[in-house]
Amino acid sequence: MKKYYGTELVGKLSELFGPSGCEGNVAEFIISQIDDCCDAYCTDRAGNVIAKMCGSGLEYNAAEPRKVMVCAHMDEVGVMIRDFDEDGYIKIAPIGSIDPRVLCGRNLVLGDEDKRIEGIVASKAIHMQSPEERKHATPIYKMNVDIGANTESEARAELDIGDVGVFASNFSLFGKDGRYMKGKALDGRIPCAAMIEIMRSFRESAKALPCDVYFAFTCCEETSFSATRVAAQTIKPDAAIVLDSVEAGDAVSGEPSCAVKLGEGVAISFADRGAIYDRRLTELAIQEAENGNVKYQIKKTTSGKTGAVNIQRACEGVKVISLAVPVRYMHSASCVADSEDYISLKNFVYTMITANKI
Amino acid sequence: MLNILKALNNCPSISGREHSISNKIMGYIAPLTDKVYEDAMGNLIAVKCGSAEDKKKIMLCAHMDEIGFMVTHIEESGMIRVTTIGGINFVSACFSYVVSERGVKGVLVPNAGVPAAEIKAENVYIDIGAKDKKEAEKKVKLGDFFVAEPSVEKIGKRICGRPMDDRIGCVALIKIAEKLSETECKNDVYFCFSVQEEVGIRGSLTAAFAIAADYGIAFDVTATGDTPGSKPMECSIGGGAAIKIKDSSVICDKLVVDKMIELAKENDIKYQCEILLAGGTDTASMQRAGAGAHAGAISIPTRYIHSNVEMIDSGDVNACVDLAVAFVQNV
Repeated sequence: MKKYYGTELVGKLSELFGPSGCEGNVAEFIISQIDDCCDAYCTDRAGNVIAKMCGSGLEYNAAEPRKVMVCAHMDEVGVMIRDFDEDGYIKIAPIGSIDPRVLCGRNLVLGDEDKRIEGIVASKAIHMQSPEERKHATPIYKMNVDIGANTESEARAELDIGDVGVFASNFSLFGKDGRYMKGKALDGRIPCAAMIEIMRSFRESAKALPCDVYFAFTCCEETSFSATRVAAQTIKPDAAIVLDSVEAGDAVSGEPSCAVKLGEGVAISFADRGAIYDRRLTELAIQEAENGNVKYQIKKTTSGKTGAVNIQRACEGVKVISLAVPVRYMHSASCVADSEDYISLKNFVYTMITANKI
Repeated sequence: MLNILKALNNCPSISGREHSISNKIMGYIAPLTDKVYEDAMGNLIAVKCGSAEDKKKIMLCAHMDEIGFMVTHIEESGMIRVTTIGGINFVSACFSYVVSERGVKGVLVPNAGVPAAEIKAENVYIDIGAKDKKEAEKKVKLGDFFVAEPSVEKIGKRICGRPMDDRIGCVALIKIAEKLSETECKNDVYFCFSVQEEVGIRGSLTAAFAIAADYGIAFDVTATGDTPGSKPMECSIGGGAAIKIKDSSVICDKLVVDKMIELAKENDIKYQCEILLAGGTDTASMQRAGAGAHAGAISIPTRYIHSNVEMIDSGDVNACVDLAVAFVQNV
């Protein structure tokens, strides 16, 4: 399979173990990718990785530098162990919002990046289910995870209450020329990969940035936006570009005409349930996309929330805009995204910052 | 007062799109204050400097935004689909004239056959009289907003129309600034015309953080218990300035409530106390932003809130202005 698209980095990030609250390992990997291209970086108390690239050149106001924050979240949805039963099965609670139907029958990786205990979410064979059982999904709190232990003590020797897990899912490319990406956690990790690559391109092109750019790789987005607030309060930016993903409903939506579509480019929101985005910046972004020939689409629904909820209202307020990469089957073991949209996202943010349009 | 209210009501500005009303208010407030600026979220803040040596910072806040609709989709037929911004009352909104930020007129209608109780954003549309999508797209773009047609009418002794919530609060702030400009002002007064209140008290939070006031007083509408079928509530239009004790977002500072009641009695200002069971105000954010502030609110009793026929009494507004002036000069 050909790999035209430079998606290796997305693949590596996708396979990392990092449910909300346990992003250390993702943070470490990200730092290894960016430490030579940024001017400074730190990990804050909430676990966010914040990297700074200083501005320079004619458009840069050194006395009062404009601060732009670009952010994406590192964490992914997962499960937490809450109990064991006497037969060695594990009881779990969800971390973030997971549809029980996409969890049932799936393989999980439990523990941490090194431990990697394999677990299978037990499911009752269809022919063993009563007609009533077939109608309803098993709630997550009733699910059993099978780690091949026969007694509680055998299971407890491997794992403990409070340990976490994520989907076991290898990243792969599929479709013509390997254009489409499949993997877990793509909703946050594609934007993370885009940020890393944008930082590299800034460094490689030795581009004079018109402002100080702060790249924030945030934690715990799947459970709340409080770590994002911490990052924004630390940075105190003038404006923020919030990168995230948006469910591409083209495959499953009841109203396809309103759905965000895979391959149609970066989705720009005017408003969602969390924030009404800054209009002037949003319009500038659209204009810039038109000028720079970056593919974009307008998100025609106002569902969902992003970290902008807490960035916009941090301290004295921040102008925010939202750019999202379309992702199908979000919060499942097999999220699907289009490499072309990933490229559009990188180009979009790169153009907006270098053209001083944020 | 009526002229200012008319001017403000005629600047459609939903949450997040307050540019037009902000410009209009700027024209009134700038000559009455010492400094005017806009912050990152778009809050308009005008400062009147005080002269007392031990002067305090007082933030007076009314929100500029109104509820309305944002265009999400244009159908092949030229009908416009929208999402709601703020708490829409569909009983009032349906079969009403609406107008877009670009001045395009239309009517908001529910899909045929939808029972009244089930009307929601997903099953209403705006008909702008376009013959198809192509024609509609010439007049309306995604992200544009529509509001129910603005109006101001004298009905008997009352004033009726929309959006009283919260243009009447903005009018009150302008009137307070007028009165303070005629005398020596003791404290620093920050007039904050806030954004995005209707979507969850978003704008005043950042403004309050930046101002870091000692006292924060909100000016917003409050419901009344004086109409058939209304919830029992000891607040009526014509009953005077409503001193807020509590709403669902805030329990007002006792010190502020007591001081207001004391000043109202002392100055013979008609007042009533208000406990609003459902609804939040900018009072909440001023109380909690940054290191916090003593927060309270002077509310304008309003019938039929979030409908096209919100009704107020001008005597109440005058009482609110008088009470506010007494407060900022005596606290």
